[in-house]
Amino acid sequence: MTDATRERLGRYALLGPAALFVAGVALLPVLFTLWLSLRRQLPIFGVSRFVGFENYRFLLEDGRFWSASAHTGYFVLFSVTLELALGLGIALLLRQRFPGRGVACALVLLPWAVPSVVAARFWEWIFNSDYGVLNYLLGTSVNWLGDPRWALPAAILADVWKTTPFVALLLLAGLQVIPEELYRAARIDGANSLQAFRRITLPLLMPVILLVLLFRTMDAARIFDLIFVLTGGGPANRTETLVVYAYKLLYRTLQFGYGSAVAVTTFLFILALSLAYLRIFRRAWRMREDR
Amino acid sequence: MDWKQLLRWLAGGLLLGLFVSFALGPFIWQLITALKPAGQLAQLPPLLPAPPTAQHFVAVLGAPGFLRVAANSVFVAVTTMLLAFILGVPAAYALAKLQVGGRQVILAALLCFSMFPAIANVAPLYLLFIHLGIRDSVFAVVITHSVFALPFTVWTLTNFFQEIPNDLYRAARIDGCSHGGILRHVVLPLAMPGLVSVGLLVFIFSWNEFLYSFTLTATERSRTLPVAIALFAGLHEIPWGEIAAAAILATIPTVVLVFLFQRRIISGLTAGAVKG
Amino acid sequence: MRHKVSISSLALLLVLLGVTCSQYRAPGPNEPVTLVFKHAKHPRYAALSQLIRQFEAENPAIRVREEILPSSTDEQHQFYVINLAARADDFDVLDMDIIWVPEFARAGWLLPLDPSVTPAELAPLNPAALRADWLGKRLYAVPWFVDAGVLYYRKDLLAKYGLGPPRTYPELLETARTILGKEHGSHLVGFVWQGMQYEGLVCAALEFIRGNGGELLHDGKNPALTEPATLEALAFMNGLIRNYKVTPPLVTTLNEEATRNIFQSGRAVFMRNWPYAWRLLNQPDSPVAGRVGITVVPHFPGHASVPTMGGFHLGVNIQSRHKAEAIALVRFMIRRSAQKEVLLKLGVLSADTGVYRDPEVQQALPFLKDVLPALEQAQPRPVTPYYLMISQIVQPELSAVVAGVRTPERAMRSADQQIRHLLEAQ
Repeated sequence: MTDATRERLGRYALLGPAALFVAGVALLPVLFTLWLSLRRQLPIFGVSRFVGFENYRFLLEDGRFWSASAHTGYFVLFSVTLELALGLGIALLLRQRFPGRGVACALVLLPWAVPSVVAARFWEWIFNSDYGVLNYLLGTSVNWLGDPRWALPAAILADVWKTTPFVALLLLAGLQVIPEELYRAARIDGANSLQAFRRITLPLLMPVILLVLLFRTMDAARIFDLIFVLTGGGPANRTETLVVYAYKLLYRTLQFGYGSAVAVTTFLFILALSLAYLRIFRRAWRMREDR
Repeated sequence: MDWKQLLRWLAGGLLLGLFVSFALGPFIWQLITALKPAGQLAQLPPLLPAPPTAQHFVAVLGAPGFLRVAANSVFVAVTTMLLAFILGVPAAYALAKLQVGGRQVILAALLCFSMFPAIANVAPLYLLFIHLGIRDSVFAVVITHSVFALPFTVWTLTNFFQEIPNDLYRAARIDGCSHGGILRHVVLPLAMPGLVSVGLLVFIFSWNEFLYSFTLTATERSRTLPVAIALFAGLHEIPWGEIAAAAILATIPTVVLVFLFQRRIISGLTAGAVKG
Repeated sequence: MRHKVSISSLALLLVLLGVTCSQYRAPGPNEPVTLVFKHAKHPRYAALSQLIRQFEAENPAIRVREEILPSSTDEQHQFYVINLAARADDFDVLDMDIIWVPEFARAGWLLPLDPSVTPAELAPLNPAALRADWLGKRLYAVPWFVDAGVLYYRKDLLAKYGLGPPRTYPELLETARTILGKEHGSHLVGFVWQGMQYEGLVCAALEFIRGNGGELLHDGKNPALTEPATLEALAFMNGLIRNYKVTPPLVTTLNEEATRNIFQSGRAVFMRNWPYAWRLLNQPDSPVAGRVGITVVPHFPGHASVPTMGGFHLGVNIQSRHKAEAIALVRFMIRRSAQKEVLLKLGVLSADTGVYRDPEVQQALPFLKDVLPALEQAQPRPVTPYYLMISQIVQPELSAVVAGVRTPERAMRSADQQIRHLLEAQ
């Protein structure tokens, strides 16, 4: 065996276990879902037959599907943007050295440490229009979770609370990697902090920002627990997102075929968005070879 | 310190204070709820419990099987994290430093597995585990959690390993260091903040995960904390006090971990290490 | 520091080992038949376990292992669907919400019980509840305990103004408005009910609709949502919120617990809920203890009250490997003696109607005399395997009416269309 071959085998040996593990376990459900989406599968009625793309054709005409898509898009846009902005702010603040920094870091991370169903219950309790603490503090009596105009923004607020720490932590770790000397050099050159941020921090942080965008968008587009507990998709389906709709199709009405089609379409939307991010940030993704 | 810097410090402090209050607010509210006597739970005012009671915490800790469930959660979260590292670190190393053909395709494919809604994965996975005979066992949960934590682990670690300058890597290779040695002496120490962050996030993900844990387990033998908390609610009676107490208790381990490792997360690379 | 790390690592290792070992349990020789009874969590789980021990005492060759599901009916339904569709045989006996029985039966997941469970055993059980258990000519489940919507009212407030409990909805409206008008400065609301977008909304709305002679489905086939009776009832519900301000707009976030909380803190005159709330409302630290009355849900003039029936039923997994033993457990649970325990110790309403005439029961639970009429007049939601699908169509439309974003006419027309489309496609 030549050195080159041994080298290549070595590389695949490093990569192999992870790849096999993921493929072995995760591939099966994915293929199964794809297969189901091409069928009309109603166990209650013993219906089980192949129908090709008919589920997808129906999906295109399904008003409820498009509403769910719109709600999901709205949710993703606002929650990811807010989380990125807040997370960046927190990471920048925590990068400075100050007494109690460790404590502040830990405290800010707390919301991420709560199970999502529990966080949803927290916020359900807080948003309660009757004895919820939010209305108490603001002195209002807004029907947060029951008003079609406020329900989705309320869910977004709860999600931002929960997942900003995730973003902040990753961005903070990413900031740590930027060497101090670059900033010192910039200061010597007379740059102020805003310029330093734009010229040094932002570009060097791009790979991590891309990472954060990818994973946060994926999670936000698949939001389920939070919405389910807070509103169940209501009122009047105004907070129903794609995965909530898919869940109801699969487990409440037992339409396995059509439900799977909605799940697959959600995946396709996420895939499209991810590809868009990778395109936009392609320089960051390919990552510089020499530094 | 001139006044501009002072102003900067004050503004920063204020902003941070705001963020911390935002993060902490609901927690404090839950703590207050957990300490309120049952009769006062749904009333506002009073804002504060009068008098505070430990009845909810006692009820939670004394619930049958609670310790068993907590142990299960520890097992699942720790093992998931270890498995994710054991499989993910070599993979990330290979993708970051070695010229692996089709690297972007591999990364993209890994990512794709994470994009499917979990609810669609649940039923087929359940079938798989029935056939493997490990339903209602913590191993089924560990396998599932690890599989879905791997893409994130590999992506993030690849990212952090890439930050390590290639000259260091090449120098070590020239010195005749094996891959394992490079990992141990060069890569891992330098990527420590990233490693600790990923480890923490994977632990938290697994500790808090509900859907798979619920579907793949049936009894206390394998049940984890989030499922146990879901079991607190009765058909029509939601014991807010107990749920708040259980939530606070369930959060303690992750909080402890964060406090323990926060120094590693914020330590950062010193200029010396990068240059050397 | 070194020592601390190694000690905690050791402790962790011990925990890991302990959990690993506890996953395995070698089966002993000659083990008795073990039935797995899958059911939702009961508030009085100790009492249920006692009942099961009685069964085991009578049947020494059978052991029963309880496996608990969370009380969220969604999670239970999801769990059952995944298991039963996968033809799992992990559990033998299951308890189901009344609305799932036709669905599971039609899917072929339940074992027919009728040759084994005799007509004599079924005779004392609530006939309306039993209706939901027959599909075609076969019996697929038996009612374990039942539930029916009731109207709670503040005895003290009504007495203060010399008013009696209302029989009709217009009366309720009048009474509520009178009291609200006279009680100034209090944060009192008139009438709270479940208006959130979920199954409970259908239960509550059906009481208005059927109380006006309307219906959701005729003969399980023809949607009746656009009929005038239905539209009138919905217009009344809407009016309660928007015109008369007797029901607060936050009703769109209310489920059973939320309505109970409002009523229990003394801030509502009337509440529509299930009988479970009685015990909680009269607990010592409840602000309304001793000041609450129960009566049948109202109707509209010229029609009868039709409370919505709920409850849980017992069935046997068709894949069960211990069918005879499973049926034995089911038959045990519907016996008079077991049903009496259910009523007295489990705190739920037994399906056996005869138990209510037992003097011991009447003495222990005097409020039952007010609940009994509700149980006798209650009707289940449309008994059809399509019910859950129909409910998924109707819930958002009802919610739209309650939230004020759609008129009853538009909402019901949309629901009607969707239901027809659904039923025709089969």
